[in-house]
Amino acid sequence: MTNRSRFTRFVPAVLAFGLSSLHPAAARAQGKLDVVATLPTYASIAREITGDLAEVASIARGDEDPHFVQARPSFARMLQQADLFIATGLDLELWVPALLDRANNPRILDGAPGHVTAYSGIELLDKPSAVSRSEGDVHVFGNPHIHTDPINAILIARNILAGLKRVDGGNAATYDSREKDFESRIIHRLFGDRLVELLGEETLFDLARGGTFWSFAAAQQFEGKPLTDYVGGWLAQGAPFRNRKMACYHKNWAYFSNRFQVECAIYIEPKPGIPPSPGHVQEVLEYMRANSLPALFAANYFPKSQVDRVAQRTGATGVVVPESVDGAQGIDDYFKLIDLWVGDLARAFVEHGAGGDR
Amino acid sequence: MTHTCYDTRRSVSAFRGHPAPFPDPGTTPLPGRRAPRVARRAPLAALGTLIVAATLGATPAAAQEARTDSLEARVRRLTVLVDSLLAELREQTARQEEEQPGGLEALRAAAREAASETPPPDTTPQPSRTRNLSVLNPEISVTGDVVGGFAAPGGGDNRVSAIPREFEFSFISALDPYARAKVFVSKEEEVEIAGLEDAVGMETGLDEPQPAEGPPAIELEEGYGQWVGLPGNLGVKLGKFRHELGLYNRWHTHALFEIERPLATAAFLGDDGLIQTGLSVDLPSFQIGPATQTITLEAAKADNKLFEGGTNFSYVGRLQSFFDVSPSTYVQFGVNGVYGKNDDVDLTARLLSVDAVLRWVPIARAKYREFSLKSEWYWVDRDVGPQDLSGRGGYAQASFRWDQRWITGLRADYLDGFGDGPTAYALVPSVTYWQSEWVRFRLQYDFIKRTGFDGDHTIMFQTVWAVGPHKHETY
Repeated sequence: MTNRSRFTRFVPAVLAFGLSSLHPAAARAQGKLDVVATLPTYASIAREITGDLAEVASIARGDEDPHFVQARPSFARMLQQADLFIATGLDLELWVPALLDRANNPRILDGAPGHVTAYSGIELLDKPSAVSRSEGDVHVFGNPHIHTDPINAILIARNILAGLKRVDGGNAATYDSREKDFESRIIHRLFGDRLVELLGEETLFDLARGGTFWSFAAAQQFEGKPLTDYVGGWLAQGAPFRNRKMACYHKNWAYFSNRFQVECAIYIEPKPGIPPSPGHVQEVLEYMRANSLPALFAANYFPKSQVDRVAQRTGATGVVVPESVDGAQGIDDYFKLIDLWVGDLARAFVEHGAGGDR
Repeated sequence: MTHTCYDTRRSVSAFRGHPAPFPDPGTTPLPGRRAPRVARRAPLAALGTLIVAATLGATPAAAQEARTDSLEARVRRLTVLVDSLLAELREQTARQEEEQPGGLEALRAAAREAASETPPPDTTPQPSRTRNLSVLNPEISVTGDVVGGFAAPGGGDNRVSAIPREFEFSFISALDPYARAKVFVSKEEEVEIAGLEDAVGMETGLDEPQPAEGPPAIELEEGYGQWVGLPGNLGVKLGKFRHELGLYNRWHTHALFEIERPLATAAFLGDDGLIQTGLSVDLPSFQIGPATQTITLEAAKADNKLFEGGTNFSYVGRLQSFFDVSPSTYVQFGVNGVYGKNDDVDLTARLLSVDAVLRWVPIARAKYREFSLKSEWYWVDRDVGPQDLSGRGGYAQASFRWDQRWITGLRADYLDGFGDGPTAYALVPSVTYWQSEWVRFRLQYDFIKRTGFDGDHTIMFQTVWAVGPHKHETY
């Protein structure tokens, strides 16, 4: 049998190969910080803060369902070299523990300076009062699709900033400055320049974060006009769907709904993560027709053909968009992502005769 | 505001018997730009009044000169007074614009107040939590695997079986910032598949009979500590674990793509695969071109079927090369080696295996489409005393998910076991229905053929469910 001689050559070869791999990893490209994010949206926000000071990569892609990313050795390799790792920190990316356990990188383990949990400081929505799988793939801590609200993007940016300053304090001033600029641009794009001029960025952020912006704006007047008349930016663009109802595929728009005051009145999925049965789809069709819902809002990792079929049979418009940055051509930063969501949804409502608040 | 208005009126009234030249700001709803216009006219009015008074009161030259001087002085004083009054009025008007309802400052103040609204602190007495730290318990999951079958052996009677094939309890927790613990306890029974025992039962080269199987017992399937934060990106496992060998050895039985393991692995490594107690070290991964390379080296007590339950050490090594062909497609190759001895029975065993995977999962449709092609091949050599036994075998498997719920698969096995026994083949098609992430059903057909014997047929139905947070680690 020749297996014996083959084997005796194989084992030393494996050992030699393994020992040779113990040398330190190749020097970081151009001495930059190595940042890895689970989702491309987090990566995009991180890039806003780091500029050229870091190489930022994402594990999931923008058109990929973040619940079901297949862990791969190449991802573990990315994490093995990372200085900073950004994840939601909730039960969205359940594939992360397997990768972290394979990466063996003490710098980015849970609780290490290089581990950023994006959800910190964000008031979670859809917290289940009772946790049971009878409710489907329920997220036990609350809805983890936090980045769909631009105000949450600011909080995510602050969390990333804190992580960057922990692992690269020497560039803290640059990170601070760029993060402030990101916040400012988000506030301006969300509320419009005129309202920011009147009330200031910080006050508007606090009003929005506290959930009192719309009630405050509705109760105030300035120069003889309601303050709501001064609202610009994405919130103004979203006027056609504000205080309206729509259908959604999955519960990934909770924070968007909350910020833009548009309700997901019914879901194609009967329960989160549970495929729709024909009976449930029929119920959705009937509800949409009875309530004249003008739009069905879905992330583009759900089947577009199914969205189109439901939309066609109800007269609604199927609005299929990427849930994350880089999920469609040209959507390469957070601002373009929100532009797309708000623009497409507003067009769908306008097509069905919506002109503003209802 | 009222106070300011009063002052203004009083000051203007001091203008020697003339009516106040300015409207009362307190009675003006929105002063806007009217007040400044009135203010501009005020010096002219005052000057005119003085000129008229001077003209009407003409006297002889000296007296007139003195009077003129007096009037000039008075005009200067009045001019100063008017200027101060105008300044005060402008300030007052500006304040009114800002402070009245609808003014910018008022708006900003209201916004700041609304933005700072916080709920009052909850002062309700809270129960003590010092005796309620169960949140620190490990993540506990239970997996059930029930199989029913209809077996039609080639040379025997048809038989029906139904068994709770496996119930597994898993406990997973962080030990401290550096280490994790994973414990899997299971109660397992063997599925009755026609022809399987005959196919994988081989000449062992030993005189002693195989230990008789008793009733199924609860056993520790795996239980190890895992250190994931060591310097140099080393990963270490210490305890009883499934060895890093091939594609499926790491997978627990209920998570397999078919109900049973392929013939070759069952024949050479046992029904449950290669599980032993020892040390496992993951070396840092590295790149060669576009491919990620990983190496795992393990040493464990050689008590697997391969070593006939010995007490010596065995050594396992795996080199894996992984390459992302595209975001949707990857290929993976592995080379594995196992070496161990059992001095009690004068046994030395060597195993060499290779494996390959091609997997396609369209990124945007990961839940709805998937195709994978997997294969493993084993060459095993056992020296038992003077006997040199060798065997070989492997499988190729394809699976296709054509819907979120439905997956079809086909596995083909080949086994040329130790000794002079017949060569065995198997063909195993299956259909899996995915009810949800935690419940699935499978219908499977096993055709096993040994050269020189009739084919054996078995149809099985399997239900697998999972309770708790444990997810199958497919990587």
